[in-house]
Amino acid sequence: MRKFVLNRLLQIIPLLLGISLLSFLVTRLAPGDPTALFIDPNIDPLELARVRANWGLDQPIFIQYLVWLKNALLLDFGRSYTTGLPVITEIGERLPMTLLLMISSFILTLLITIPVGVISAVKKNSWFDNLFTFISFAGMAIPTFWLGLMLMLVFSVKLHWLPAVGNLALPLITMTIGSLAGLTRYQRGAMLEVLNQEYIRVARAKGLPERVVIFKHALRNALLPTITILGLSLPDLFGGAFVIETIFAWPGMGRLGVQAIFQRNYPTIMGIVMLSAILIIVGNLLADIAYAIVDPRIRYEKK
Amino acid sequence: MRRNKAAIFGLAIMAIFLGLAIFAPVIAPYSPDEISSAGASPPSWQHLFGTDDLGRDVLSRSLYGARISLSVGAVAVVIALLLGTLAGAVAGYYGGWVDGSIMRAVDVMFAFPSIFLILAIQAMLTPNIYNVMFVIGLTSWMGVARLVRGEFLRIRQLQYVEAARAIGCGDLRIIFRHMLPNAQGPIIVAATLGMAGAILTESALSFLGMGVQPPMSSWGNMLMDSQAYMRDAPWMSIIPGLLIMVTVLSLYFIGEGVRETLSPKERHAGS
Amino acid sequence: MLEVRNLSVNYYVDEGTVNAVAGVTFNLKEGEILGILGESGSGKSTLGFALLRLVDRPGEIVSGEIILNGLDILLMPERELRRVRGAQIAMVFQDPFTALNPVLTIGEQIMEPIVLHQGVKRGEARAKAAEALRAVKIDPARIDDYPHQFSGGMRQRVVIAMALACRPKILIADEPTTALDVTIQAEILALLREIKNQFNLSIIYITHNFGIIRQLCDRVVVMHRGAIVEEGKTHLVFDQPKEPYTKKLVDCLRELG
Repeated sequence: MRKFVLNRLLQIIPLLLGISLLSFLVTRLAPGDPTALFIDPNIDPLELARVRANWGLDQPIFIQYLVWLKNALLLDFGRSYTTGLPVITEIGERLPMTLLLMISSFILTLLITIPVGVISAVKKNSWFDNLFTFISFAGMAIPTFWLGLMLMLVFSVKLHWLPAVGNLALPLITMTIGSLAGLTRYQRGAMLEVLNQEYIRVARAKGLPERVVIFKHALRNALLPTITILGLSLPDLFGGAFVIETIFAWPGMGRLGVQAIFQRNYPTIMGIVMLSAILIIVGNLLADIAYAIVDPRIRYEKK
Repeated sequence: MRRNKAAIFGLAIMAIFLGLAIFAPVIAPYSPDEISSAGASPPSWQHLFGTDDLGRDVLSRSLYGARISLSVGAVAVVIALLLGTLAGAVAGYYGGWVDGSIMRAVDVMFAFPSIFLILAIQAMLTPNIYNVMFVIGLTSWMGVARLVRGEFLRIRQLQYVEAARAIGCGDLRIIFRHMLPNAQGPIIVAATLGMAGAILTESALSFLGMGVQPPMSSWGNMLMDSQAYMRDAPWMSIIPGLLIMVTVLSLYFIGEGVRETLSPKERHAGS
Repeated sequence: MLEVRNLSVNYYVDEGTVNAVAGVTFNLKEGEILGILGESGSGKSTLGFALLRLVDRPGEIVSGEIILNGLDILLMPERELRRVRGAQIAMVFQDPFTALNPVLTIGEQIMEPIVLHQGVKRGEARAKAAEALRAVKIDPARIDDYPHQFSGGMRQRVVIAMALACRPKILIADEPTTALDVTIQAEILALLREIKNQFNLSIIYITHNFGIIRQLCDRVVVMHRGAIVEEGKTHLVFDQPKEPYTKKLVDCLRELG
């Protein structure tokens, strides 16, 4: 198990290098100079050159990357072009809000997905199953931002139950419905497949009550694909956060990121990309570990 | 059985939408940019879907928007399929370090929240419809690559590939004539789901103002315009969203239908 | 010991209704090994599952009686039925690779019915599970291993240990050697014969293999298309088959040598 985790940790290093290089290239190879957005074009050319040197823009791009990388290793992602604050401070202020949203949505998603997936599979083609099949297909097809708008329309504009901005409920519901839909389908599918396995019949043949057959024998096996999907869907969770935070003016990292993109605020963009990537990779690692805990075949193979 | 009905329903909807998009100039009661009423009038016999804040007919804009949204989806998915199939085929066929490096690239791309990457690239380029197609295609090929690679790894083991190699077929011939046709089922499924995804991404991009630019209408940028008028003109946000949802849903149904047909679950009576 | 009367099972599939078991009547006598012989698709496995009411949808038991100790299994409420399953009648399954739950240790899987039916503490159940492992000649030290750590033949031994754990009187074995190599098959058959005597079992052995029936079974019923076409002492059925279908089966076997 320890070796398994160490192995996975080692794979992360080239992955992070690749991500940082790619996002660096994407931001720096763009036509146009970021100084144009922030500095009066009539500025004295000497002064402009000083600013550019200060931002490191006079160096060749490869050197710029190495300098960025060296600093990033020390958790210094530079200063925001717009506010002049260190990027790490800026993100640090916003991150808790994003994590609050994502983690509560994650927990809510699991609390709904697992029971719904199990019941849908066990009572296949019942009204319950049909209802949730419909809901999850609709949920997968609805653009997240539109769902947010509609919830806002109904609950804030028409019913006045919830404020449109500054409240956790609406962004949380939007994000949860977005991730819930697909996952419920997977959980149901996995459960159906497991229920067809011979060992389920074996468990029944032993005289075990249905409750034990389903929760002890079937669910543990059916959780395996769900764990994998959870890990794989993490980037979408972040992607969702960017859009949802923007709609509901939620003061998190996603909204900061969208603003930074519009302002070509490179240091902030890079900082957010790297942090999201790290969180996504760590999330995937946790998913792998969870998988190994549930599945002895993985746990023992790697010994 | 139920699935196939859904797939036929999806196909019918897509056919109708495609027809409406193609014949938009004939069907649309107004020009999409024509100011045909006072701002934001609710649905009526003159304007079935109402008009937007500038007084443009929402039905006509939706019809023209369908052209944009559907073609962005289609072109983006073709780009993604080409890239993904190529990468996956090469990785799966050659294996070894080629496979290793392509798959690491896939990992890197997968670790990004793709909407963020797309936004970042879009911000650097001039946001226009061609860039939208290109960027969505460029950031959504990884799933196809993994899928095709998996299929190729499986097919590579099969006897007829060995046989083709034994009679001296070249690599390209084996890949394109012998292996790819056998992987087409999953690729078709991926194409329908990919198109659904591309339409969703386009709408999100345009909604954030980084996609299709006004005055051209797409379902996404109609939604962007609607945001400020939610209280007074809710039809402006309801209609385009429903169109996106129905389109994406139809594509999902088609994809599921194809998948079902490809892998008929054995439902034999036990022996 | 076990009396089956007029048992019918239908499968409701898209193409219509399949009469998988059609009015089957037979009985199992105490201490015997009864073979059920049939080609694949003859309904013999469905019959085996029906005896414990383990037929899954889209299948359904439509009529009949299965009498055990004077009670009809088909009429039992769920709770009572569960007290029969695993405790009085146990099953050994076709494919040992899929019959064991991959995420639970074999010990856990063997202990389950013991705790359930005998109401003993886990420590005691564990001792009994170790004993069951010893009976099928698996080192009890491996009690905490997972199924994937065993070979096919060993896994089938684990499945047999699981079935024996509660000392049932009747064992239903559904093609327990089909998925195994020939040498391993012989070992499992020898093991079955041994435990039959040791545990005083009556066995229903379901197979398509006439050779195994001849080696193992006292009596045989021959199934074809869901119905019993012939029944009798094994050597009689084999030497003087009465029905054309059985004759054909026997001829095939002779030709194969």
